Amino acid sequence: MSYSVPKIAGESDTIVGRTEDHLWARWEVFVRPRGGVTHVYSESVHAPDAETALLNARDTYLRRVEGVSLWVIPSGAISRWDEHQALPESRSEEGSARRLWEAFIRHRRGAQFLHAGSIVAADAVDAIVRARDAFLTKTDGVAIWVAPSEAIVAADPDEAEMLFEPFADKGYRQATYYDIPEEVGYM
Amino acid sequence: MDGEERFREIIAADEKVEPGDWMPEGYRQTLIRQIAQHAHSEVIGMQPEGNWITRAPTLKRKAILMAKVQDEAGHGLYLYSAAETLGVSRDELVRLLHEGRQKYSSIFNYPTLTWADIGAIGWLVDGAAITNQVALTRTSYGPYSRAMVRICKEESFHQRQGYEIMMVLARGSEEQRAMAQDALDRFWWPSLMMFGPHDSESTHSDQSMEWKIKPVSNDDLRQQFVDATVPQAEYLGLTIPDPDLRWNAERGHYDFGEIDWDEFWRVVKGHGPMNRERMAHKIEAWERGAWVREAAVAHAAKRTAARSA
Repeated sequence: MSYSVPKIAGESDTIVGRTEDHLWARWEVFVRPRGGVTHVYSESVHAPDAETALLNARDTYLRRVEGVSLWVIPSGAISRWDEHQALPESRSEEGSARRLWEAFIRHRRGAQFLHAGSIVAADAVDAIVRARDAFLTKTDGVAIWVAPSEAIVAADPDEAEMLFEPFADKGYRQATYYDIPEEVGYM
Repeated sequence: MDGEERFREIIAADEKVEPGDWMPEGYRQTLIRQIAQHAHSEVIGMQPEGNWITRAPTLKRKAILMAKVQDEAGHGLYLYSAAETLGVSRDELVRLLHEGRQKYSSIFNYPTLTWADIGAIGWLVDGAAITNQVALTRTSYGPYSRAMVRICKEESFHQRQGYEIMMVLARGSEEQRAMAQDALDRFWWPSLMMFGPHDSESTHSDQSMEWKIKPVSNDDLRQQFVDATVPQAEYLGLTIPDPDLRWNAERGHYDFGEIDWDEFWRVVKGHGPMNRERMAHKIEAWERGAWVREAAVAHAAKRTAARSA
């Protein structure tokens, strides 16, 4: 819809910027598109738990038949790095306690984060360094996110049909369902 | 290179500013205001159309209208999510709307009196929105741009289903044609108002254009919309309620009459036909839903406790 509403008296001038006053936590959503090879970041939802986060993500980001797999990650479980932050040159020592992390990369400005793969690392910084070394060439990385693999909640593949198929027979959600004569121009 | 220099370089190169980047506070505030207003518009926009779900003429039209209203809710959520990347919370934005400290598009302060209004909204209101949103896919802020791309993909369905409703009515009985014409008569000018004040009057435009938040000016977008819509009205055999509307071969555009700016400001300032009803309904729905939000948290906590026991 549209929004060129001029400012009037009483309208808020500045937003203080509180981010922590949510009753429901924030979850980051990743969708593997139909025919896609990897999970793509799809922005966020708010939900009281993982199960509801998956349902909210489905209803918000998959109202048509775009996806075949869905992940949600608690926003707080993600460690974020971008070009403005310094990063240690070397990885942490071998032998320290390590676990599995998932890495997401945004390869250029304007693009969406893509799931790049899994890495074994000691901590978040180590995971970012290793992700950089594993998945980036020198110039192409704008930002990296990492999350412990166990923080990812995936939609149950057995429930995929129930999650993704209800929209498949709703052709009226597609623009092409409507027969509009060519002479009225592109619509 | 310091943050400010990098920011200028990104804008100059037509690249996208991303959430971790340094940005001027004015840039951040303008984006929060605009994205929030856009999000609120999507959410309030569910009301005029929701009004007709139970009275849609056929089961098919009812299913379509439900899908469309559901899309508007989704669009609101994409936009709140984009706003959150600027360090503000969705709940805070909702609160500011409820306190009357943030606005939504005035178009939703007009009532939907007949079924033809649902057609006119899809055709004209969504048409105007698409004109604006297609331009905004090129906005300089990455998350906003990506939300616009996602929304534009879905809006085409909205406009086409509306125009199809108008086609059916325009080919129908005398009364149906009259109903379609009446809807056009009432929604034409408010749709043109959606693009906002003239460029010469718009206090936000210059800075927004410089930062490339808003890539096309209000008046240019309005002209684009008029040029695209006039042939669509002609095809329907309906008359656009503007005696000054005519093709200007020299300019290669339609000339059109002046908007009633008194009406525009009256509605923006809260005195449109439906301002009070829209806000009262929104706040009531939020308050009546409080127990659901709280119960969901209690349920989640209980399940977590049961699992760790």
